[in-house]
Amino acid sequence: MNVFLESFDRLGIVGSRFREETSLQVQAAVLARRGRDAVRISGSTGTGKELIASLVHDVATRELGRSGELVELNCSNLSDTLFESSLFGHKRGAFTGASADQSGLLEQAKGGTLVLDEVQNLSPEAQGRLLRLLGEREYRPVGSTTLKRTDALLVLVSNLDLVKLANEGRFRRDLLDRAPAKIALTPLWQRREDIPELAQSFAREALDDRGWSEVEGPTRRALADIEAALVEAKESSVRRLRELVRDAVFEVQGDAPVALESQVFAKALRSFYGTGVENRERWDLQDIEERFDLAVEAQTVARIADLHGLPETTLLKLARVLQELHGSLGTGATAVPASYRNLMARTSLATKAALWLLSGAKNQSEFRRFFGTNSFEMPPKSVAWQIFHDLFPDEGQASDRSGGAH
Amino acid sequence: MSAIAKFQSETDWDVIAGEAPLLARVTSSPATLEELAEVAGEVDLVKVRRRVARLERAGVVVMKADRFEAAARTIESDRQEGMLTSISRYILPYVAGLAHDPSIGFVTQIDLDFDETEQRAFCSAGEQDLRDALDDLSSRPGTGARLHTLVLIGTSDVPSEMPGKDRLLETLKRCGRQRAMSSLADRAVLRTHTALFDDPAAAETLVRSAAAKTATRGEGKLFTVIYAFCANERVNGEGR
Repeated sequence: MNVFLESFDRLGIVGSRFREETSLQVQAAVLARRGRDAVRISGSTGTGKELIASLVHDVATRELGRSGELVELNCSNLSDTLFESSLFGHKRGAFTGASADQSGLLEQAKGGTLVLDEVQNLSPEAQGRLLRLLGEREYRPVGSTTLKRTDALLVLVSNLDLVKLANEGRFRRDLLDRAPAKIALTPLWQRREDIPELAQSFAREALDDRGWSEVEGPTRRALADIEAALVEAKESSVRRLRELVRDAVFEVQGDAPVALESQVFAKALRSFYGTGVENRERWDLQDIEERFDLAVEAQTVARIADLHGLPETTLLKLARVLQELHGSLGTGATAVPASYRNLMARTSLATKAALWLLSGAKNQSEFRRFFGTNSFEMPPKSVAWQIFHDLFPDEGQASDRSGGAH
Repeated sequence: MSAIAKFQSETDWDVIAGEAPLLARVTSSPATLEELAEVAGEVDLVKVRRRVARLERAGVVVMKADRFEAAARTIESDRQEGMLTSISRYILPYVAGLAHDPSIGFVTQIDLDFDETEQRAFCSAGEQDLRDALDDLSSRPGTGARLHTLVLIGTSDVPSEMPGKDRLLETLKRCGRQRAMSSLADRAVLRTHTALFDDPAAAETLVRSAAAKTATRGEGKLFTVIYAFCANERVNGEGR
């Protein structure tokens, strides 16, 4: 998806899985809705919410022809009055010290994006002030008698689960209903394949800072250790990983090493998580127990794809193998092997979307029934097609010609 | 060229694993930088030279006149990656390939009554005689050699009876698990041996003979060994 690739590179967003997941979600939450619905971004601390807010703005600017600024307001520690005044602006004399008319951040975000960070900290009264804004896109500056309209893309960011807060009565349900487009960010440890990519990127950055640009990055062993430690510790924060890697690189004494071996990271791992490279045995065992079957399945699929002489990406290989093996899913005559169902359970949304389109399934429920996936794991078909065409324009045409389901 | 080069460094492991095609090319016969560039699929000779320099630094490639050649006929290294990563990259492609289609090479599993001492001895040697014989065969002059890999898997954590394909993979899993446990690692062996052969059939015969010889040492349920042998191009790499 070229539009996303450019934005990812410009914003320095690293991690194949993160990129895949977020591009799909931003596509569905922002582009497919033409930026008309308020978006809420949720994710625990350090998962990249601010980056994704910037991504939303970047993509909306280029794809939806928007031209305004990205404006952010942190809602923590703001009194209701200050929140309202900052956001909506005020008229002269509206309150003590209001000596002149003052436009608010919404005015500044005209034609652009307004991000309300840590929105869970707003008082019930302040939340109430947002209702009309999110629902009708109208607001009234403090002290004014007239309503103003805004065309800003509104983004609510929270590190807590707003639905859970709403269920507990700590956040207004009707406010959630007015921000229906959702982007949920996965904690770092649940997208483990991104950990080595991020660690390499952070190490490169730190090495350059030390003037050691010739030093090779972390070794495979070092990356495996970092990945295992973070998964075991259920680390959700990319920021913490960056801190760990930088600490390790700046601890290196003496001349520049050839590469960053695992011992370089041992002390930092122990300091951050209480575990060092002495825990390898346990990590290796856990890895074998948890992921061996997946590795076998991936190998099986790759082998079958290779036997069929299928080119390029694993995604397309897998899709075509499925198509060839099982024909049209509409017949439902052939049972899909358990290994495929297991693989599907671990496959990303983008992959499922493309597989669905290529598989020949008549509709989403047919695909789900066949592969045992859940409805919430599947994107709408229009979004699936958009993603697929963006990712594989040529292949999409080939699929059209061969009669794939549209 | 020396017979064997041993490595214990993570950095060297990465170089060797990352530059396997270049290494295979110079092991086959001395090569110019241009020839290596072709293998690497890289047009920028400066970049290729830098990559070859990594192999030189690791001591596996030397430059003589204007050609690069392998410093040793055989490279040995202990695992320097995560267990599953190593299995996925270097072992599973062969075992899974042969499990699905035994006709692409040779694979056999033998259950033995080895006691603990015999298990340790077998794992420590890791079929050294067979590997030496394969190296001898590989070093004979010839043309058109193809890379083949022997995978040797042995574990005292013997899986129960199940379909052959599933049992091969279950054995690999148990062996990997056992190799990751220092208290039991010396009673398991997980080893690959890759070499170029002009006469792969002769190499396969050597492997079959070694397996047959092992099978004569007493059937039992205390230890199990897998011999797998096939051409590298017959299998896929890591599917991840």
